[in-house]
Amino acid sequence: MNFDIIHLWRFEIGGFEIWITETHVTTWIIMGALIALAIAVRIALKNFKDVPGGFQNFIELIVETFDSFLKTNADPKLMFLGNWYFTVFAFLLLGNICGVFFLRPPSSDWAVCFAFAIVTFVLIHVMGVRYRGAGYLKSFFEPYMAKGKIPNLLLFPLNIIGELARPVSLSFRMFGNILSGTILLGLLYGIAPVFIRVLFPVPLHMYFDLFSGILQAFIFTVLSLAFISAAAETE
Amino acid sequence: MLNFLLSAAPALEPPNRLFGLDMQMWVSIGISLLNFSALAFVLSWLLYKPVRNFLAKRAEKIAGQLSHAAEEMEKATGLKTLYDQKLRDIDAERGAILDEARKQAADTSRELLAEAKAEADAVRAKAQANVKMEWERAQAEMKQAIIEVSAAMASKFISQVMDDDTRDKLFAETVAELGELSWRN
Repeated sequence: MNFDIIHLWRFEIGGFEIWITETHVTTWIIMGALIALAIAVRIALKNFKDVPGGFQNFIELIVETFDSFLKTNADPKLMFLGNWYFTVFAFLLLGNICGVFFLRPPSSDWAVCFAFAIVTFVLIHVMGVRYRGAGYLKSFFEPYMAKGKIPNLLLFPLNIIGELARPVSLSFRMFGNILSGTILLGLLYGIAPVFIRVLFPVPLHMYFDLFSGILQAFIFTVLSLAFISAAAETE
Repeated sequence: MLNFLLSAAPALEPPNRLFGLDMQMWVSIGISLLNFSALAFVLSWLLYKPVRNFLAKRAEKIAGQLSHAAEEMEKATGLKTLYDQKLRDIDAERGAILDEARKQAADTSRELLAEAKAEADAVRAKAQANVKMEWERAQAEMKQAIIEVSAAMASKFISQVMDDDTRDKLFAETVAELGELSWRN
């Protein structure tokens, strides 16, 4: 039984060996589906009416739900990040539940999870400096000593480690959850008797692919947004 | 599902693995970042921003319509107040006109009654005068008739008890008296 990420095509760029993997192909399939939906929306948008119905209702529901989610969980000045978080949530949602269609979820590859986590890491610090300036950099020395007057140099390395740990914890949380579901379902399909393979996978797919997949997409998005919002928060 | 892709894979042994912190991992991270950036751009450009703009415009339009409706409502309320005031003024004016008309009617009625009473009094006075005049004329005629009957009876009586000379003498005296009496009346 093999749970490895399948490497499909090999390229050599600048002396380095680069492989296109199963993860990349699945990512492109999901991207294709999302882009097709976006094109369909763009075409249908010309006929959108003031009183929505059918497809328009569905699209409006998605965008409005996401907007209200942003308003609830993020500072109003971060609303411009809605585009990015919409992409993150839509991709992770589809990516995490694509196991239902017998595709290996891209987030069962740590590279995908870490790529999202790196963006979150960069956004945390960029937004922190943008909205809090020097105050944000001073926060690495918190809590201050002598009733908040002297920066605590001893805590600086710990704060730095805490910051570096964020993308690692964010990425491994989702990677572990999604990979565990993939492995469990793989084991079931690999070693279980035929009659179990027919009946038993349904609740497992519902839990690992749908429930856990949606939950992990939601958790990643909320945590990422919360970290950025906290960094950009001015008192 | 992707097994068919394996058949198209090169003969070189692929470094399949579950996790590894090597160059391939960083390449995969880089490819993923490119993929997500492109996806974010396309989704934002084709879906999220246009739909958001559409929703914002519609919300603005609805807000405008609500504001316009509120303004119209305010105008309508103002007009209603104005019309109510006008109706009250009209009611007051109507009451004043009716009072004036009633007063004029009462005055006219009093004048007409007074005129009618005066006319009736005049008619009655005239009638009373006529009655009195008729009464006096009847009295005079009756007196004349009584005189004539008395004279006739006296003439008959005298003709039976008096001789011709006495009769002529009395007749002459009576005629003389009657003549004096008639002249006096």
